[in-house]
Amino acid sequence: MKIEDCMADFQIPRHLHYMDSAATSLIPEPVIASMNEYDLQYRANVGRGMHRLTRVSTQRYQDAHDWVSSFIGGKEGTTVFTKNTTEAINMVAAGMDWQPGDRIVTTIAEHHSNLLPWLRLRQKGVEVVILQPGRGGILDPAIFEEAVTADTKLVAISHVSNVLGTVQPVREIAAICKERGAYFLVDGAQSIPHFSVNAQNIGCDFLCFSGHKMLGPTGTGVLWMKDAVIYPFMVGGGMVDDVSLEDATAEGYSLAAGYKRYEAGTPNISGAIGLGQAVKYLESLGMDAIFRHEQKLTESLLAGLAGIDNVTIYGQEDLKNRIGVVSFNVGRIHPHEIAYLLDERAAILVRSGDHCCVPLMKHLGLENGTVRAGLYLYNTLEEVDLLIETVEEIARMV
Amino acid sequence: MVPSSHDVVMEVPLAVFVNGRHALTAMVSPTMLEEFVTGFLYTERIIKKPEDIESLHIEENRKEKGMVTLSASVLTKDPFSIMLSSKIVLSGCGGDTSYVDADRLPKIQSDLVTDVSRIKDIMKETLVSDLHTRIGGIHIVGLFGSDGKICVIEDIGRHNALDKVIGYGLKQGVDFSRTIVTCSGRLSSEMARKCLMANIPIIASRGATTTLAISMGEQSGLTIIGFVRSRKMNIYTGTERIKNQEHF
Repeated sequence: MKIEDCMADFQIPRHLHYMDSAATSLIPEPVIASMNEYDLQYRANVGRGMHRLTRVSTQRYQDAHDWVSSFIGGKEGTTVFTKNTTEAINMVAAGMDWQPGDRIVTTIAEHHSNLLPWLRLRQKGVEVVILQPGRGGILDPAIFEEAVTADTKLVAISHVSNVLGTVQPVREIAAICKERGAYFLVDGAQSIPHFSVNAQNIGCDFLCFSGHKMLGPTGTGVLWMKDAVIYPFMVGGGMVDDVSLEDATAEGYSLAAGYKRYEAGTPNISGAIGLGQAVKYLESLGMDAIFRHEQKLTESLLAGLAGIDNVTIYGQEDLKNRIGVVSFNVGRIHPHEIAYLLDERAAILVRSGDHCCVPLMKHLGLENGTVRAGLYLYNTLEEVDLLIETVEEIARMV
Repeated sequence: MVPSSHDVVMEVPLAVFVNGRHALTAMVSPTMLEEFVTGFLYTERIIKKPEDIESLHIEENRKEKGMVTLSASVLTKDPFSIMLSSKIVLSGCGGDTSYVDADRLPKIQSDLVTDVSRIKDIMKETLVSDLHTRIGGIHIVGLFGSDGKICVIEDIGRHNALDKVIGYGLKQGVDFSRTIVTCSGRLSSEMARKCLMANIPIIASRGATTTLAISMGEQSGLTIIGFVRSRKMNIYTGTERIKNQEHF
């Protein structure tokens, strides 16, 4: 399917110019249909039971895992379905055996979801080292050479900044982590929806991302692990092979193999099926085609905004190592005011504020944050032109 | 009786579920199971092409009293017709019954012609089996095309072996109308039926055939050849496909 042909599958763009996809993407009809099909035609719990509906729902649920694994080149690892990226990262933080003196290396550019779980481990005596990106928001691998010491247990960074849209050199950082024996966690929430990402090629140990930013339903996310080294932070139904009460000193249960041990309780079945369908949808368009489309839009947006007086763009000002997440400000107008005006004047929907990145905002001296346009496959050049024109109108008010 | 060392052929129960419904439990040799399931679904007309299978999972179930059991779970692209039907009755190895109506079996559509020497050659090539020689108790089925051997597959059940051969051919995109099936054992009506469903025009066996198989062959244009040996073979039906019959 061609990018232009997919427009019919989205209803919101018929009336509004949706440019808030870095927060959550729109969802196409086939994904909604797959979830409706589950609820209307074969709704049943998964994993346990012998009847026909549970067999079909279980298989569709397993297939969704397989499709997502394959999509990220992660068939060799374990693909666990979570609620979102935040839950995936928290599972790693809660599931590793932390000792006082362990060290975590992360950066100031992280979303709170990839920062707070590590800061909380300070309570256990874990040292959290915060690195700063260089010009344009790019991390220099050389700073990791120094920061990743022998007692560093984990390095956690975002593949793509949700504020600046910058793409970080994850393969180079992975090589340093491997050499030093540190686990490497990549927050792929902003990368996996927009270009082809292969977990094996990156060389990471954990890859976390959200389904709702990649055409899937809300309440879906993924934790991929190269090796299933963490302990499940929830226990309960569906995640054990056996339970025995005979030994009063033992836990009394043996964990199931694979993803099941990390998915205690009834999961979000329709969401998982929808996420699987979203992956199929993205594959039918081709991730390279999606990336090229977004690059075209981003190039146009960056050039247009750069030509407006009083507009400041944050992050890389050219296409090198960046995607269509574009943060900017207009003079000293509050970002929320700009977002409001864009909606009221031109039905353009963007995000504004700190984008759950307060430390980065403080680092950049941006008390009120930024306006952020998050472009995706259903946006058009005409919409980008409209955004530029409307920002120009607002800028003339300054 | 003298104690001796002798390998014994493996036999494992495989339960096949299609769209949540139990379709059959076959006793099989535990190899090429995806091919078996694909071939089985094709010859039962549950699928028309391999792409009709949305997903296929083969799992080893818990060992009970030392016995391993396998299950195959299949979802087809449109699972709801079977999922909601009142019953799913399919044929199985040894059952020789099928939900496919015998009176509505297809006719062979092929202009393939071959000769007796080729039948002898491919039969010889089929029966060269280390496993068969060493262990015995195993059926061999081969699939041959214009370029020679496509595959030769062994199984404890002849119908299983033929389903595996057809499944393999489907996965490889083989044009069955240009192929010949060979087999080591008795050529039953079920073997003939599977060839008809796949549009394989010639089936030849080292063993005997049955009256029902011959009847099906006559109705459908399938060439059935039995007792293929070095100096003879019996061509029961579809004789027009075999040249040089005078060279026996």
